Amino acid sequence: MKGPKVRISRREFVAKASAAAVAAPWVISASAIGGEARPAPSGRIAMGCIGIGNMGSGNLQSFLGHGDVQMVAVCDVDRGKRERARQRVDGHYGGARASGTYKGCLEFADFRELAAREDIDAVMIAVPDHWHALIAIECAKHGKDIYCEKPLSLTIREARAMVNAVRRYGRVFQTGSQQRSEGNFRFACELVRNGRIGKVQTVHVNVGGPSSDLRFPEQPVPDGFDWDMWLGPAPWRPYNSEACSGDYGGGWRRVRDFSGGGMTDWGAHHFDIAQWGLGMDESGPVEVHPPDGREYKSLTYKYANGVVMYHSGNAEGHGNVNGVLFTGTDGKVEVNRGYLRTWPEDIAKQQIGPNDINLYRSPGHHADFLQCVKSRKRPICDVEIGCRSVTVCHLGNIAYWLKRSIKWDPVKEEIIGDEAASRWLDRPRRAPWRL
Amino acid sequence: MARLFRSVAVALAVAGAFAARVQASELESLFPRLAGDNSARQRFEDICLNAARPGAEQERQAASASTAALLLAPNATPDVRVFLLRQLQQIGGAEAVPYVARLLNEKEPEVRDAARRALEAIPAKEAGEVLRAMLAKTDDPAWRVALLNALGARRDEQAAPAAAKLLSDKDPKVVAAAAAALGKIGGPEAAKALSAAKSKVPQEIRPAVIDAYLQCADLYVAEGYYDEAIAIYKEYAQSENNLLRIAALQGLVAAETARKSGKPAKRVAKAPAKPTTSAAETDSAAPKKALPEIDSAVLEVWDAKLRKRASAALKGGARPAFPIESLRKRVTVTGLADDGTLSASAADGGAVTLPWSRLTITDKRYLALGVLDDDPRSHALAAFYLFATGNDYEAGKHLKMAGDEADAVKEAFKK
Repeated sequence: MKGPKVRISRREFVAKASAAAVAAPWVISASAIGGEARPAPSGRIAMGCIGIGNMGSGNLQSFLGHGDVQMVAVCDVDRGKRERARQRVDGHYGGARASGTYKGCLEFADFRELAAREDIDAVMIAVPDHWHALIAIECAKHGKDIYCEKPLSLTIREARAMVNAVRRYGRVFQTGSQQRSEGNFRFACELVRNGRIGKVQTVHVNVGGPSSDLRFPEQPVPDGFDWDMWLGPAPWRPYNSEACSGDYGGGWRRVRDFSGGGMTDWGAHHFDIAQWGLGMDESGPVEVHPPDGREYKSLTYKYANGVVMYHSGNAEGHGNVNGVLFTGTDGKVEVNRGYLRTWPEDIAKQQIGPNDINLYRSPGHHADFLQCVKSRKRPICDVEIGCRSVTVCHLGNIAYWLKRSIKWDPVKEEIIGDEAASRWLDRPRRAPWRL
Repeated sequence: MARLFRSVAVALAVAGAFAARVQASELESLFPRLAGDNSARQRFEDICLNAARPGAEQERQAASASTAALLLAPNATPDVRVFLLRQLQQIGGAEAVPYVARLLNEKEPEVRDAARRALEAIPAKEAGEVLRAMLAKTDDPAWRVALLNALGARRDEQAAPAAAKLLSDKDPKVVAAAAAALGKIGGPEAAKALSAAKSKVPQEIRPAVIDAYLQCADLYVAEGYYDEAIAIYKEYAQSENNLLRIAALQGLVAAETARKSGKPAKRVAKAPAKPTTSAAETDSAAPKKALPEIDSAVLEVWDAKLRKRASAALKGGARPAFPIESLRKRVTVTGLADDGTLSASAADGGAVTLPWSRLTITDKRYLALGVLDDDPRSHALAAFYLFATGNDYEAGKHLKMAGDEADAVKEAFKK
């Protein structure tokens, strides 16, 4: 939050503002100090965006809409994308530029240069999955607060390393599983957590399948695109536009070197909600069984408390699963974006009282992150939560890929009794990159 | 009944050998199609992954050996070699290491790095030996970085001296990689080297070295060496650098919390592959269960064997390092007197003298693994103390290499 003119840190500002609020009989609003409809430069959070593809562009636009954010830098390995992003930021602050108070958005091709900037407080990371951990850890080491797209990581060990780095340096970290900030998902989980459907027996999660070892023919690398940097820690392969396309449902999300596929992409949303509803934010399943055509019709997770979770688009006696379906002894809750339905219907009309379990109420996923940057509290989808949710997704993928059941110790975070499966907890990285 | 069990065991062994032969044959038949046929690649990987399932070690070894042999086929393209190396990264063992090692000298950079990655993931100690030897040989800074990354990811304690030496390399990227490797390896040697280097390295690398030093402290907390961890955190508890102060204070809280609760508050991501000789890691891999009862006379016999072997190894220059349970300290053993009195240096630099009677069965297991060499009797000792501490899975591996002594180990646990 070191604005272009006033050299005062955000922490100092918050501390001084708090002291002033106690001493003075009234509070001077930040907008009054700034002389515009947002906090003064010294009160804003200076942000940089790393990765300006589909999700990155959306996040950038959203953060630009927050008056307490000053977007100061953008970074992408694609020259065209970063130039367009820089122009968009400059255009947004056009008025300030005319008044001479705005010095322009910085542009970086290498995230390490952005991370090393001392005048940036927080970063938004929206790069392909295989880059999340390394960039987030680098940013944490440089004292940045982090909003990172989901899924948290490419491997289970990466997720834990991210938690460790964030905790070590006391950073605020929001995982981009934004369904937690949507009211219907919270309400569904509150119904489940407060026993309104009785004792939970099963959960059905309807998301896509795992990624696979896809190959594509070589194409010429487009001008202005740093393919080697895009690959980063992933094994080298020749350039192909489809391999690195950010199209939802295609592109890099289907490629095992870069992503866990639908299991981690949508899984980081719907399995995340399942974990929330089950109260498993600091734990996870103990067994994972791939479909075998006999005992297990679909990928099946078992929790130590007896709850069984299925990765399946259909639930017996229910039909198509719309998002996440919790089934208890006394009823069912089904939830998806813009949708919530219960059986019996009147469960959905019930209130969650003050003495019930009330889950975290977020003012919006980005707003919650920004609030926490100021308060230093943990946001609704803290890195530990992102770690636990993506672990569920990765365990499912490992069982799919190996075509065998695995046992998981959620306390030690180890696969039990299967050395070869344990190797999938992480992946060696292409030099010179390391975790 | 015993005869029936023997017959079943023989039948299973024959079936296993047969399955291994069939699968090796299929892998070889798929090889010519690997260059352009995705379905052949998928089938090849499925066979490999299935062969590496628990309880099918014979099949895993066969699949790994077949894949490794194909690596050096003259008609294997670089792309196919990278694919085969990926399979070995997933299922390879000691049998694959010599083949993979040859590709570390490959001119094609992608093959060379894929070989390095395979060795990083293969848990056999031979893989670590190859990586260390290559690190000692090369003077290419980029290759040094790559090898240091692999050794760090393996948490290869024996790489600590070489990594420590490279903290004074003239290339800052090598220094940063050496520091990162030491931070992952942890232990007194790594911590000492990082502590000494942090004031000497160029300013721009200092944060990386201190970060690694703090990681050593985190590892100390995770492994229960609270005093050592706290000593490191305290160095930065009043730092003017906000980030370092935060890290130190977080660490102090974690260490004190862990000490009080008796269990580590910090989780440290472990290496993806676990070197088979690392006792610290076999511990965590082992499911907790009741330890077997051992006749005291039997234990005395094995203790005498261990003292004899350890004494000889120490005289030969071995310096096993491990935590002593009763002291809650990590020590480096330097000598063993005839009466069993153990001499060691503690992580804080102090000297330790401990009578044999104060060593727990876990301490003895560490000692047996710390002086492990290729001698079957050495493997028998490792197997005995691993069985004694409930780690049957790892014990079984050593039992296979224990030669004539294997029966004596089995006899000890007959009850």
